[in-house]
Amino acid sequence: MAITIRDVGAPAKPRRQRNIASLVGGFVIAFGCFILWVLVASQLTQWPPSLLLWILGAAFAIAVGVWIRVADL
Amino acid sequence: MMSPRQAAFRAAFRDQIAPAYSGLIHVALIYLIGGAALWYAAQQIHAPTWLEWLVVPITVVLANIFEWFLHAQVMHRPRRGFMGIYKRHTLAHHQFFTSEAPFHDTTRDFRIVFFPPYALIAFLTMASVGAFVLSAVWSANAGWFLVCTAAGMYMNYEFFHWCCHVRDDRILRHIPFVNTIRRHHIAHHNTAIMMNLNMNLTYPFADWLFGTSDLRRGLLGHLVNGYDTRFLRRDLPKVRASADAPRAAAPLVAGE
Repeated sequence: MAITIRDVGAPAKPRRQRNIASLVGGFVIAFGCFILWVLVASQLTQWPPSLLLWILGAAFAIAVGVWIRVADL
Repeated sequence: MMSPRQAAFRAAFRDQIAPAYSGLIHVALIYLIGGAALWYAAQQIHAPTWLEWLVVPITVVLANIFEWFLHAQVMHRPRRGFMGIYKRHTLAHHQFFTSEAPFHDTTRDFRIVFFPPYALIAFLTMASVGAFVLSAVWSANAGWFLVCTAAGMYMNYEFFHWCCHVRDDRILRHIPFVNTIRRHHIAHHNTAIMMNLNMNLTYPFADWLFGTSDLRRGLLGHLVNGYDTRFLRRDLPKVRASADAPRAAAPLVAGE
């Protein structure tokens, strides 16, 4: 087993606990971003937007939601 | 001057910020969402009448009172179901920023300056419910005006609040309304008055209306007061000086 600096040095810091708010908030903001994306896309193009725009919207919304969670915002 | 207690709190808070956090992404998200909502709502307005335009100033006033109410009654009062907001604001934001040391240092400090972006989603949802009711009972234009103004006021709130906590005021101190809220809010961070006075964060209208301002002057004077401290109330409570914060009892002067 490899021995790291942390094993022989100062005691490790306790693992950072993420707040439950960032989990709920991540879902909320992903949903909100997706709705807004669809509305703006339909305003700029047509209703309903193309499949590509739906997919891009979902990808954007998931990315934002995940970032909110990992940034523990 | 920053007290050792405040410095220790800042160090502990910064240590808890996740490595993936970026202050610039945080702010970009707020303005992207707010801007998109405002733009979309504006696109739906067609040939508004002057009566429908009146929704804008009325919403500005109501949003101002709502901002005052939320700050005074939720962010500064431990209420069941809203303890997270109370802890984040009174117990964290007000320890991180005091009237003695009210400025942030890096963009990572935006974590404690700006609301999380989902607060904007919640605010827009509330505005949309109001807009739906308004459009059902009166006019669709009025409803869209409500959403536009609510989104604009939220972004206004965040921008003004940042202006209160940014260090460099060479330009800000000359901008009307911004200089007013900067003094107003930095004074609010004095622990002696933070629970009761200076609750507005955009324009101190509701503070004037409900008598919760540290100034004794009329509405117009309140709005364009700037950094002026001549009209401070004489009966303001003072913080007791302590070994930890020996200058705590100093007068409330903003941005100096």
